[in-house]
Amino acid sequence: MFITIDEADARPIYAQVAEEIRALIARGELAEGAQLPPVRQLAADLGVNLNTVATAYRELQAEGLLSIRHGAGATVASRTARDKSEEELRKPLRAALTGMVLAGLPRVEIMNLVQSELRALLKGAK
Amino acid sequence: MGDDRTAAIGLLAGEALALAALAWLPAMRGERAFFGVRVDEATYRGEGRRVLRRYWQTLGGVFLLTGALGYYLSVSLGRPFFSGLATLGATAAAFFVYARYARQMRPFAVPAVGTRFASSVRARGLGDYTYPLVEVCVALLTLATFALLGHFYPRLPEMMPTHWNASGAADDWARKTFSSVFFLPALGLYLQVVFVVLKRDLVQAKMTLPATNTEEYLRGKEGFLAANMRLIDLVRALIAALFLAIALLLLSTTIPEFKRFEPYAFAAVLASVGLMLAGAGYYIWRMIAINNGLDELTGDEYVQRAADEGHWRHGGLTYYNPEDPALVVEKLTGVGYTLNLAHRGVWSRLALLSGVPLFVVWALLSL
Repeated sequence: MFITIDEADARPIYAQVAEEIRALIARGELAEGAQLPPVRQLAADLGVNLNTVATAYRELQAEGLLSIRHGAGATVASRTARDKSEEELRKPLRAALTGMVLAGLPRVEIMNLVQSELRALLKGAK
Repeated sequence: MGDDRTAAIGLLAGEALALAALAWLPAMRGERAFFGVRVDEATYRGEGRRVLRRYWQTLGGVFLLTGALGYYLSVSLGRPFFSGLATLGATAAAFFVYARYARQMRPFAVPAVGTRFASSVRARGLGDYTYPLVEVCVALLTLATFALLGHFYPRLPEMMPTHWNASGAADDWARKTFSSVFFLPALGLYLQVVFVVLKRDLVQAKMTLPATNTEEYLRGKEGFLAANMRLIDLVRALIAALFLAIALLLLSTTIPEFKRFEPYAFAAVLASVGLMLAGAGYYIWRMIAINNGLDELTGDEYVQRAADEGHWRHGGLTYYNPEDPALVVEKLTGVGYTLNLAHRGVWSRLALLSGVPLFVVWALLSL
């Protein structure tokens, strides 16, 4: 179970860290109550600033995915993101699909991509 | 005189070993960390070879001069101490020679290409590498050393042996005082504290993982860490055993009714030293083997961040990076770890290590 970051990626590092943890929780690899590594360890191993990891953890806390208690570290709180409106959920999907359409992918291939990604994501999920 | 010559020759041999290690140091990791900088194949084969050859010549010259001077002084004045001093001086001088040649390689540095890194989601803690049996043994042996010397303190003679020769006969004595008797167990206790702090720091050392082959790489890294922890535990247990054996030797050579235990105590001393050397050899061999396996796994793309590479100084011997939250990092050249000198924790570790000179002074004053 790993968190991977790419320094060449345009997204900020904290967003990458948060996204990786979200994916681990979505796939069920990080179960409810699972302990996350201390901010210091993750920051040192990934070679990033302490604040970068702390920001990622805080973002996930605000989403209700992590619960952070002082001294006890961060644990996985719940597997459902706190009540997002349907429009909020649709927005990133629409952005991703727009990118694929603009890249000239035919409809069938887009469907295949979406399906294989979803399958990979749900594999191992409870 | 003969003894002095033997000691001087022994120290010369030690100096030769140090020279061999220093000669190998710049090229240990090939072009990935040549004199602590990443260079390309052409530089490594061309300019690099020339710099390396000049480094060897200077290094050889320094060692030859200091070695000859030390040997001459120690034999003619009858003080092997000078040979030891020469070795220390040569090693210190070698640091500056190395750093000077490393500066010549700096302009040829090419940055690392790897941009993708990974981290394990499992937290590492000292508890994962603590074995209750070892802890109980260490605690019992250390306490027993204190208890034994405390209990028989009144019966120790006014002059007690502090040094034994190779056949187990005492050849140096000191006056019995509280500080000369309890030097041994106090040193034992201090070493245990140092080693536990070392273990804790090493568990939390930075573990840089590449984003490809991460699973295998992590397994290798964890194997390396486990070998390192076992080595420290082995040394801790054997230090505790060794100090108890020395206390027993002291009692059996000074108190008549314990006389019959003398050969056993002496055998125990030799056995713990022998086991320590053998165990250290085995685990260091394993750690080198694991490291080589990891090198093969990553190939040319050695796991070093471009952002961190610039913070290695003195040709990759020291690391100073205020941006890095890690206190302990893997060495750039060689096997093992080194400290991030920009980290605040360095001061408390130095304070802890300042106990070493204190114990040396204690030994000089009371033994």
